[in-house]
Amino acid sequence: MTKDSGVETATLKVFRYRPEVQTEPFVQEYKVPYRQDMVVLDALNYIKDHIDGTLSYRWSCRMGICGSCGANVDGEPKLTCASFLHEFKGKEIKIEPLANFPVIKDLIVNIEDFMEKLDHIKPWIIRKEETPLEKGEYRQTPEELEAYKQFSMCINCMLCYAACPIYGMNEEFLGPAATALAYRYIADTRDQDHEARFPMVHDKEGVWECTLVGECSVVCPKGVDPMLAIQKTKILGATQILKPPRRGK
Amino acid sequence: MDKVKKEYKSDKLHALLWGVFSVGGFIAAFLLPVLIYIDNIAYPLGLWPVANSSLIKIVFMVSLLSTIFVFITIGGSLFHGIFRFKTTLPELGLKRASSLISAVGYIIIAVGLIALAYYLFQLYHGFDPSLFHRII
Amino acid sequence: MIRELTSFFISIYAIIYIYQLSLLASGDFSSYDLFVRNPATIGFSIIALFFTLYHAVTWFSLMGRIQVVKLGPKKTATPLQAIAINLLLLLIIAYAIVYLFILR
Ligand code: FES
Repeated sequence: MTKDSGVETATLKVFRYRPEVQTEPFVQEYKVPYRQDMVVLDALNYIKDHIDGTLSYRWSCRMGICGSCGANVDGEPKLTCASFLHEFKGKEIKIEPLANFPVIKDLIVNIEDFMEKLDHIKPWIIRKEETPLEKGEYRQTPEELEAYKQFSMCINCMLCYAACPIYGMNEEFLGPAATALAYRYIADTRDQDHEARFPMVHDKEGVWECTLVGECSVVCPKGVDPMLAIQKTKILGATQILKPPRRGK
Repeated sequence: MDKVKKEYKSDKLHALLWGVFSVGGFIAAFLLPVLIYIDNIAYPLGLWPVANSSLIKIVFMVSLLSTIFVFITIGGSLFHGIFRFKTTLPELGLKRASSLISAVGYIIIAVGLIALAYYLFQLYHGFDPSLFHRII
Repeated sequence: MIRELTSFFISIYAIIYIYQLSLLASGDFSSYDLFVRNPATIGFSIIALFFTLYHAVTWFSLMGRIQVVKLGPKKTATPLQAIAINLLLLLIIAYAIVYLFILR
């Protein structure tokens, strides 16, 4: 933060990539008025509204729920709506698209790969037979809820993928969030076919690729511990081979 | 980028290897420290608990049980150590060579386990305890 | 980085131990004795012991997270308590081994 003619300003060095006008990415510097309560997303919105309308980035809820505003802020994957400018006091802030994803334009990355993985792990409760509505809700004890609750907090922001060096090297790796969400349903007592997800999570490029780096759990803005989900899923896989093969199907 | 739709399949071999690795982790944590201490620290330095005991006991070659103990402890630790070492190498930017590293790792584990079993078998069967006393 | 180092020292120690067994199995006890009494071997073993204990602590803390330790019907152990419980277990096991194979 610096003082320019009496007004405090923050300097943002933003990664730009505009394939329609220029083939090479470049860095553009913007100065925005600084306020104590401003988050990085506010600064980006200020740029878009007042300085440079060509800047592209994703956002929606401004409150850490939609998971669309992720970017690498000073090299760390962060939700831009949850990173205050004052955390970077006295520094220029480097804003880059989420690491490990192909860039489409400016801060917008291609999330197709993750969306596909998310679909494959069947992120819904599988019932062999739906009980009729009048029978009431499926009940769970607090302990049963506790078993999966933290993993259900995932907002699909993909910061964990940007932080994972294994995903960076091999995009076939199922990765942190998809495994955490798979485990969220595997650990849910209402789900009646946990094993339907085993081929995906226990695939050669599933959990076995993880080498316990643990960065995914560090960067998660919602306190989810994907590394833990991956380890628990590995244990399921290892104990699975001791069981007799499942009949039918 | 045209991606062929991925076929998913549970990888039983990796599950098994990871299971052994993980059991090896427990072995290295719970059993290895005491083995290192007794055989390679307490014995050469003459510390408790081997300071006054007879030499044969020091190297654990007294019974079938101790032979099994050494096999499990050293075998499990070797598997755990090599497996973890080889899986963390790609993190250091050696991705390209990772299948080669993997193969070398498994060869070391296999040769190590065979050698371990062979020497322990020899010691358990054909070891002459009087050798110890003749030297000291 | 330290994770790579612990696994490196554990692997090398295991290999050295197998070599020690080969010396013993050859029946030439003095070569075994010379090898284990070599200051370099002792020094390496002390470092290996240190890294093995480091491995034990990190392993216990990971296991404490994966399988929550229960202290009572409603109380679960904090991560630090889980490590402490496991370290206590480690000491008990170590003493049991010493007793079983040496002191008895
Ligand atoms: S804008 Fe919705 S999470 Fe940041």
